[in-house]
Amino acid sequence: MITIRGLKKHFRRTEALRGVDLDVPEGKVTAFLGPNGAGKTTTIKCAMNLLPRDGGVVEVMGIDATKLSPKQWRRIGYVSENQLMPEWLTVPKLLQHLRPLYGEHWDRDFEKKLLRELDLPMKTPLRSLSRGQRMKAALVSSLAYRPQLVVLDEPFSGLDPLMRDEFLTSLLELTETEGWTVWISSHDIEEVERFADRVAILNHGRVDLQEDVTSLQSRFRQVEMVASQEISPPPDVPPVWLNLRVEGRSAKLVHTNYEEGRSRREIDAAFPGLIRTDVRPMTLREIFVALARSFRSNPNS
Amino acid sequence: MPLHPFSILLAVVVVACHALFLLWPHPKAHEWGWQATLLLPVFLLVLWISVQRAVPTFDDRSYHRTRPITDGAAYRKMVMLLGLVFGGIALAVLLYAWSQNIGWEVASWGIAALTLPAVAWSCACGLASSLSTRRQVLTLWSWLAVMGAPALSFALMALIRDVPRVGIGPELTGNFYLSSIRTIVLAAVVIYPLIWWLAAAGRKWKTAMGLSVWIGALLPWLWVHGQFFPVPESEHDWSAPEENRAGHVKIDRPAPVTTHDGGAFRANEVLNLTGLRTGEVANIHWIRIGSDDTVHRRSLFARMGVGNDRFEPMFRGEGSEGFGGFSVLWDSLAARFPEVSGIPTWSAEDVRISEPYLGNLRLDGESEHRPTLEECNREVWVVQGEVFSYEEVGEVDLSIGGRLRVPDGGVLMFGEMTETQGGKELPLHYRLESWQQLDGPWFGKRDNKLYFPLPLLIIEDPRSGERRRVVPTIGGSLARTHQFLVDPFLYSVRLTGSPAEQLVQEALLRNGNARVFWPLTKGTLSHEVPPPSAGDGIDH
Repeated sequence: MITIRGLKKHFRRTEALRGVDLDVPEGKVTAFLGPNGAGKTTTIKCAMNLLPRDGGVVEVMGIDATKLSPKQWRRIGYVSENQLMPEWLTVPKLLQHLRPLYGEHWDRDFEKKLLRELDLPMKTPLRSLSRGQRMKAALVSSLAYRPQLVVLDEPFSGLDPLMRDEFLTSLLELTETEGWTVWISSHDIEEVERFADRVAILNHGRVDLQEDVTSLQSRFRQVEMVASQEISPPPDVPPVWLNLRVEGRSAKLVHTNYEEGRSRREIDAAFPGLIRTDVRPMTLREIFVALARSFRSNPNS
Repeated sequence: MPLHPFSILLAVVVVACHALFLLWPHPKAHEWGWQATLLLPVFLLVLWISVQRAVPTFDDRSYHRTRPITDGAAYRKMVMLLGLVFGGIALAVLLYAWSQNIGWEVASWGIAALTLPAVAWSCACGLASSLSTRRQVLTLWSWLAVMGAPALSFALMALIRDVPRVGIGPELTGNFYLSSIRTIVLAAVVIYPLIWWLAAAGRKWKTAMGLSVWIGALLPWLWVHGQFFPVPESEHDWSAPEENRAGHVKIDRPAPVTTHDGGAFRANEVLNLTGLRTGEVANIHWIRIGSDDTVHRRSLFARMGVGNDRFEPMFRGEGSEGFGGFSVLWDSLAARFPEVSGIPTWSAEDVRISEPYLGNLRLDGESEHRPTLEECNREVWVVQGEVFSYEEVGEVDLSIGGRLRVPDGGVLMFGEMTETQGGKELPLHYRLESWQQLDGPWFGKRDNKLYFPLPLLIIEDPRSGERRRVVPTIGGSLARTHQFLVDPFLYSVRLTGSPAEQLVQEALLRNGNARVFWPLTKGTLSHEVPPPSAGDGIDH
């Protein structure tokens, strides 16, 4: 649905994107992760033609992003944390204004269902709504026409935990039932872990990793070892090991391509005298942190 | 993106203020309106910033840019608002023009004067605010580019042209169809919307920014060099246009000026008009001594009369007989409306009205700008004036007042009787469309209305049967105030004569009905009249 190759963007002398390569496959929920300032929003804005790009190729729904027209926008739902909404409108007025723009694409029944589920106040202008309610209003206004592509840029930012949970639950249900292509950016991986099919991790203007969640979780393992005597780190650390930390008789590492048997034998060979080896699957958050930490200690990795 | 209520409010306020100040009947409303226009640029500035904020062109947080709305559609919406605002103002001017019985030429000038500069300013504001929505660039730069460039360019021009010595006026003198100010407004009103379109619809930020700077820098120079299409000399002469000429009237000079009593002489002794029809009156406004090609053309410019338009020489129809004064008017009116004859004058003491007055020409020879008696007799006279006849335009119940639309243009309004230092009087306000405010030719025309219309009234008290004929006095106790597109004239009917007469007059003004007769122009006069015995007048 979205293909990005070598996307570059700079703001004056600051290089924000240094050749982003990314795919957002159709029918999947792609979580776009990265720390604050990594370039997630810039990437999304370049992809949505909200910012001009300095280099690279961006295709959205098969056409160049700079050529996005009303025809494509009728099939794209975009919600961003910092969007300038018409704050003086109430939710019904906002929807009333938007309906004619989408013509037959707009689904009134679905709109009503969304309004019911998201429980939005009908008589209050957007400016008087809480941040979460505003985001929900933005979501209704961007989903009621059943878009094929939903782009959510930090939709949970600034929401309190309760609101975040409500918002997330609603989104989760919708993406499951509607089968949309969703591209969601967040700096907090736990939020998207529940429903992301795929993750792409952006760091310092480059995508470090993009993979299906199941595949990622199947190969990443946290390995903790205890030996009978003090452990010394092996002279050649395999590239699939990240963040190796040795403390006396114990050691920890993240294995990025763990295979039962083969990987276990490699570890035993590298750390002789192990009396206990714990291997456990990692959450998406742990993988993200491990990768971020590894990148920080070795930016060229 | 829908408009912010504040934008709508501002747009409504701008239109409503124009309508209010234009249509409010208070005599000072237009003066206050002009003072209020000082705030108009600020209102428009805030309006277009507010409008542009709803659809920020270059802001990557723009809501409308993630919706099926093209930038062109957003721009069109802004232009539509621009059209509604200035369409509303134009409508207010049209309503005002209709209420004041103003012709379409003057009304169209009024619309242009009130809308075009404001449209140019609005587009410049829209452009600047559109450019300033690019978050990666300081807002200040965009505003400086659009608004600062003309100011800087003007300062540079002032520096180059050595203003204290040379001044900074337009390079050429004379009248131009496109005067400096018109060129600037026209250029701005055409170019700024295009650049705005380039920015707001085309999203060409750099191009629009560059063009704004160049155009902004160019505009002040148009003040000096932007004069195009000069008006031919003949068109800004006082001579009346050919098509309005009263061709049936001939003028000749039967005798040379011989009497030179204190620089004045009787006009009807030296001018003879023939061909006037029944009921027609010829009013001579100006006599220029010397034809176009004489060296005296500029300096020898004399005026008939004794300084008050009402005493200009007038000639009535039915032959070549020349008269002066109001008796000519009453006689010509009686020729059309016989019932008028025999009605007493307003006051028995009003000799100016009851006795025929002969206009005089001052020729004291003391000033080099005035002709000597010898020059006067030697040179050709260019006689200018007009021919008119009276028509009844309506009747007004003076107890309640009222207004009449005058067929030639303008309205005559009857006020309430007031008491002034000079006594009691009934004010009559007449508003005539003003070509003087047009700042040069408009639709190829200039003001050719030379005459001061003098209405005649027959006032009758239905209870007592008393009747009087009245020529209102020009001027009055009310000060003239600035009026948009019209020249206000004030007439008054004053109580004069003995106390007994004044009692009758007051009763007439309080309870009477006034039949109003208005002079309608039949044609203008512009004759080159050769010296006596050198031939008849040539209508040119």
